[in-house]
Amino acid sequence: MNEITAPVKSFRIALLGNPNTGKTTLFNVLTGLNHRVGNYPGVTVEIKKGSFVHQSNTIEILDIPGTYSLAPRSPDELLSVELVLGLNPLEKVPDALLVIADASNLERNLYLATQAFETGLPVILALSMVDLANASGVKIDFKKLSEKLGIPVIAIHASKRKGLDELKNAIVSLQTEKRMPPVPVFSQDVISNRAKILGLLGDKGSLFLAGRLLFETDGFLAQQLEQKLSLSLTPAILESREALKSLGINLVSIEAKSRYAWIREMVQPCITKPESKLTGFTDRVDRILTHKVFGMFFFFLIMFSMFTALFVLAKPLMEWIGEGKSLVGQGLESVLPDGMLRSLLVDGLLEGVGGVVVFLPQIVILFGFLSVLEDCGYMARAAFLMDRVMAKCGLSGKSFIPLLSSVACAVPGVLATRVIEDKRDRLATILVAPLMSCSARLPVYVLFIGAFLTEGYGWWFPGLVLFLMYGIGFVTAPLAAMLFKSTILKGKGAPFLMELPVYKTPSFSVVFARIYEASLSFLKRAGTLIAATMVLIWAVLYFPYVSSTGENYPERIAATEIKAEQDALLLEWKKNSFLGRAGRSIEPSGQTPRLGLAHWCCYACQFPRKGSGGRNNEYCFWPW
Amino acid sequence: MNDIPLAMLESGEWAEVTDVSGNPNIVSRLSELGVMNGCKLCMLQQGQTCLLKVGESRLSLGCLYSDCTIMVRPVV
Repeated sequence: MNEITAPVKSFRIALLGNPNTGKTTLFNVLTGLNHRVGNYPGVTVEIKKGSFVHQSNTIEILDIPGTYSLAPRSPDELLSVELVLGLNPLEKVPDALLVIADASNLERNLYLATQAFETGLPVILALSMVDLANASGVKIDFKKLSEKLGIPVIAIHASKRKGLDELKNAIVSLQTEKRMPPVPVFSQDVISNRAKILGLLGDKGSLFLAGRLLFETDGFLAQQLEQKLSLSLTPAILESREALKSLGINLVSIEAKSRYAWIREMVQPCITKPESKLTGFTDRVDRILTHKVFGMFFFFLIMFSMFTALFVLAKPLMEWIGEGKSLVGQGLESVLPDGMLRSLLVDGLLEGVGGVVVFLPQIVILFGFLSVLEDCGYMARAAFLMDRVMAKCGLSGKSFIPLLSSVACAVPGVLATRVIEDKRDRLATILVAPLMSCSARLPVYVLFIGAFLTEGYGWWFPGLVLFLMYGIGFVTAPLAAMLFKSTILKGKGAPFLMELPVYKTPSFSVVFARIYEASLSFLKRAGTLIAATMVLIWAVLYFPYVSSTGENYPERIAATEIKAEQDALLLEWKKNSFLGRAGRSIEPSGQTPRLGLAHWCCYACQFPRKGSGGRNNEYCFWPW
Repeated sequence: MNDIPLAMLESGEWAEVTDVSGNPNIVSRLSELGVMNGCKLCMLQQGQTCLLKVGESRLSLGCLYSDCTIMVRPVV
């Protein structure tokens, strides 16, 4: 029930989970379109906030970025911890935590849950990918697991909307019945030292936070908390650490060891699974797709298919849109009298905006391809294969995903750099991401290829050329990164450490949502910014329409029947227009103002350059 | 002692981790993902960047570039 009605009560939950657990799908399905992106100064993470109403209760959800552990090592990760613990001044403390865990890899996923258990908040455990777990022979007794942990455990399949009502009921019933999770067991020495730190934290403290301060060896969290809470923590933390070290406890590994041991104790009676073998679907496919030779072959094959599809599949659709545009143009010309208004609507708005909208099929195919690659799990394999290449430029395979996403648009590409932990690597990737050819450049490439290389070549040829044109970005971006990493961003990056998710059928709703968002934003831009720019360009090309000798160009063109004369007049008119004059001013010979004016238009955007050059399906180099 | 560095493990070979040492941040990140003393893993793809199976997860690791040393004991 995703209805937006007057709220009776508001209950806040924070959604936590490992990457690739279907957290975003669950968030989207729960909140529908009723969400927005939170803005927090000083960090690059995107945190979504949304709400839904269930049984007259408004439930607010805060989507915390996917993480394996709530151990903050950067300002971005610290924000997640602050939001979960209610330490951020911009957000109230959540009333409960919803942890989503991948049932096919339960023990590893419960690591994060054990940290959530220590926050002092009620926790609900949602298990995703139960079908994948069952397919690999894993059987989980949910009821027993719920009893053992003392919290609601609910199996969900967000994209098929299974288990959602049960989950919503469980969230609502937390308001009246707070079932607190168990606290994972550590050794007595750890517990007593953690209690000492907890005492120092006062009312802002929790077992989780005290534990974190004790286990974090780099002092980042302590330093941040000391500043934010105006407390002196370091001496007590160092004393506790020394005490544990003297007992032979390894502080770097004790936390993971204790948590995993506790998880095994809890989970083992509730789960039956086959011995870990390498015969599963993912392992078999990975043998080929991650192979040094075959893997690279498939990688290039997939990339080539993507760019060929951009041409072959989009062509008929683009033609339909083009025909539709011509029909509307003819309709307008038949009802409107010849004059400025008709010129504005047909030559300015319709030609300009329509000439950009015609590329919508390609945007849909490009975003569709990229989101399918990401959702089925291939993108991580591509990052793995590319790590060796990226390492040569001083980056890691993690930089490859943002770069590939930049092929669609540099904005999501830059956003995707948040998975890169190392600051220098992240900055270098952000700096070079715009060098990748984005979808805004696609129409320009398509125009060139369409004009020069379609006739007399095989069907595969335009795709290959497009692939090679994109290849320019794939070569220059790493080279620029290499330059940055060897000069202003010098330093050793973090090692490449990344999980490769299991292969799965891409979720239609996830892929559709991404295509929808991209298309909508493309059309919005075409309808607003590009439309406004086109009107402006039309105006500077239309005015002045009377020459210095007093000739009225539109009237003279209308008066003559001879095509050559019309063209000559049109050329003269446009050469004398404001934009034509500006174009001539930067052309030394003064003979080809078309290039100069297309150049001026580039400052507005890449799309209008095309719009300024073309009319009636004639392009840049055949102006007016 | 049959312990060898992880990078020397052949593709398809299983091993038990005997020691993880080096940069504490990386060691603790690895332990959060289940790579710690006593865990069993399999080398799926050997190389400068390797692919490991640890428990039910597949981890890719830039072996030679990391600030830590993972010693393993091959098991049959």
